[in-house]
Amino acid sequence: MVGSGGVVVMDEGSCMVDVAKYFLNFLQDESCGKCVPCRLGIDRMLEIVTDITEGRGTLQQLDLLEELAETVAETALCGLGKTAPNPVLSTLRYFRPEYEVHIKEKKCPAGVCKAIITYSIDPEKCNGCGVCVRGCVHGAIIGEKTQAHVINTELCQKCGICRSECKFDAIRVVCENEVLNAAICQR
Amino acid sequence: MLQYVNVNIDGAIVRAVKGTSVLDTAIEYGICIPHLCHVPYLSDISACRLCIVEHVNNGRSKITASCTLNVEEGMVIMTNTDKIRKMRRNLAELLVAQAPNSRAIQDIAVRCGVKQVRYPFRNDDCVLCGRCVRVCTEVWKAQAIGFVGRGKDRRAEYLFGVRPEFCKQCGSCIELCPMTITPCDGPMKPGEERLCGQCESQLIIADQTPGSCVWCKLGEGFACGRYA
Repeated sequence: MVGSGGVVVMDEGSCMVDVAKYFLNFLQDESCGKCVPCRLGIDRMLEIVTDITEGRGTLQQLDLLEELAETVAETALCGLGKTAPNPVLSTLRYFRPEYEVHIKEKKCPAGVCKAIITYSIDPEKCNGCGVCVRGCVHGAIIGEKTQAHVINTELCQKCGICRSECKFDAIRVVCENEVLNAAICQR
Repeated sequence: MLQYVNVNIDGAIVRAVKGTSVLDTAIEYGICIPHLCHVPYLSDISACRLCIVEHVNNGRSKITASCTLNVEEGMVIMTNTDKIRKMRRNLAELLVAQAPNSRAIQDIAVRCGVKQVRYPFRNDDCVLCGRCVRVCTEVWKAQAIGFVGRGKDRRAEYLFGVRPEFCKQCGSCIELCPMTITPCDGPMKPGEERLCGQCESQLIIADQTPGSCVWCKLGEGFACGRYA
């Protein structure tokens, strides 16, 4: 699914649910639409995975996703449809706890799924250099120079520009007031 | 002269005409394989995938659609294993969630054992079975309607979106469309779709003999090959 004979290395900064969603999006574009399992099955899988990344997922949906993925893999007409559920099946097989954290605790351990994370600034690390204020395209960061800055969560679009701009590692990803310093490796 | 081959379907060794499909043979011998896009006098495209069977070959089984699988000497076909029933149920569930306003599709879902629909209903009506397109192309040679678009945007439509002159308005496309039979209670409003339970009296017969064709009334709705 990730290219011909290619290897993609991902660290703990990649959310496996988001990876599955990305591949399903791609496969939905590639599907010709002739047979039911590929056209409707991929669409429904994408619907379920999107629900999970946006914090609306349930554990029943997770079982449904697995059942649906197995059905599509067996019954699709062509090779594309038969391999289409592989990203879902293999992420479910090796990273099932990550799906469960998304569903049960509404948290994204990698800090990728935008709907269930918020950004905040560590006042101890921030020295008020103002790089993030200039970088933020939504005007969501306020603060005096040399004072610790604050993110306005209503304006913040969670684009992550401030995080990549900050040279002092002061921007944190927060899930329900709990700081995720390092991504939790579930295995 | 007709040539015959011997095929093993669900343990019964039956004699089939060479060149016919497994689905046609099974229906002829009273073995029920649910199907939607198959119409006896049209070519098969295996789009609905409801007629899946297990084809056992050298101890390995492969799941394929039976309408495009031709009979061969010594073939072993399983039409009603647990695995097949489960997959068929999942596929029927996908279909009924897409087009709950069709009695034909509701009936197929009941026949395939769908008890509840776990997806949000969409009410999209067309399930792209391709019956209208094939009857227009193959029987009337008109090619007035065809498939437009790809993937999610695929739909059956007139050429360039307007009715061409060579469409004779014969109405065959409407006759074969599974959407033209509305549920017994009438069409469902958007947001109020449900799995129609009207045909559960039929389900009792279908449950007892899942593999054999009981000439169920469910088949009439979608023009089951038996009623053609």
